[in-house]
Amino acid sequence: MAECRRETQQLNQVSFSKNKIRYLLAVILVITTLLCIYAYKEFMRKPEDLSKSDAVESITASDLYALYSNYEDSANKKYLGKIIEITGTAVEIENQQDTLLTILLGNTLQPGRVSCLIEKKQTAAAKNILLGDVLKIKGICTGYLMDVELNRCVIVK
Amino acid sequence: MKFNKGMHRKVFGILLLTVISLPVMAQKKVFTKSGIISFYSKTAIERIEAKNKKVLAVIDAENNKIEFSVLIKGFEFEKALMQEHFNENYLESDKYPKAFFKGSFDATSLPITLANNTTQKLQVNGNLTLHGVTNAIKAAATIVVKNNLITAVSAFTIVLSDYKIKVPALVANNISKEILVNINIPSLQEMK
Repeated sequence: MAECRRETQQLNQVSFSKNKIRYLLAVILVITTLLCIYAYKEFMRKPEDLSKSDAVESITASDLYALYSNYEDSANKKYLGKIIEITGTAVEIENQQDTLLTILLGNTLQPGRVSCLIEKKQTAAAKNILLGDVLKIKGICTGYLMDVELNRCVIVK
Repeated sequence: MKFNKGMHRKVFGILLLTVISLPVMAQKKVFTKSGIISFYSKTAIERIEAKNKKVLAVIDAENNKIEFSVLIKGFEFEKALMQEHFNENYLESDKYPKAFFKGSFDATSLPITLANNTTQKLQVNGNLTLHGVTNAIKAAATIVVKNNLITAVSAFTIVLSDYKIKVPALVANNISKEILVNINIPSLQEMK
């Protein structure tokens, strides 16, 4: 009788550990699949669409230019690589081969502008813009050359 | 008003000189704010390509100077992850936001003309500063002036280790050690 009980106990232990292994395997499988999906999504991720992202700060074109032309390093610390929203007058519009549309915001009293390279998908919407229009444009600040440069811009207003 | 024959000739001569020299004189210093620099890394595993469409370029034909400036954060990649790694790990664009080239045309290429309907093959020598490291480079360039539109192209190869750009061992096989850089300037305007 005692022997029999011991055997059942052993059997129970075996089946318990078998279940445990199965359970563990399933968990590992689920985790690996999730990791793979995440890695694949990360790998295929496109640069973010700015029309859906919020700007970290809103500033006028002439203020931003003044800041960059006087204190480039501190302006870079604040704005480089960040999404910012610029308000200003369109003082120049450059259109190359209908795909490279740049709208320069600022005022004619300053030597430089805020140069907004418009996102390709947005160029059709931006075509009606005229010189003198007061605009609000959102873009990623990439730094300062002759102008303050903004990339992948979308027109907010 | 009466002019004698000699006077006529003189006036005509001066007029002719003015007409000939004006367009040439006017285009001694040209620039663009929308030059294009692209680069390629091609390995068996992965092909990586990026483009910057806001390159500042100045060609001063009179003083034989040529300069380029480009913002590192302005390079666009097809995939966001590549762009993030490029900025954060490889080029450290927060620390070194710009790359620039300062150089001149090789003596054999001189004098540079920006006269209409000309094509010039040139040799450029200068210093490229990238990732805080400056190296001398040489490149062949072509300047074409057609219908008063000045365009320029050039290409050269850079070695990543020359600019202390470190690629982690894990992805060392995905990224080429030598990168082909293409410069394409679709239009240069007179500098005022």
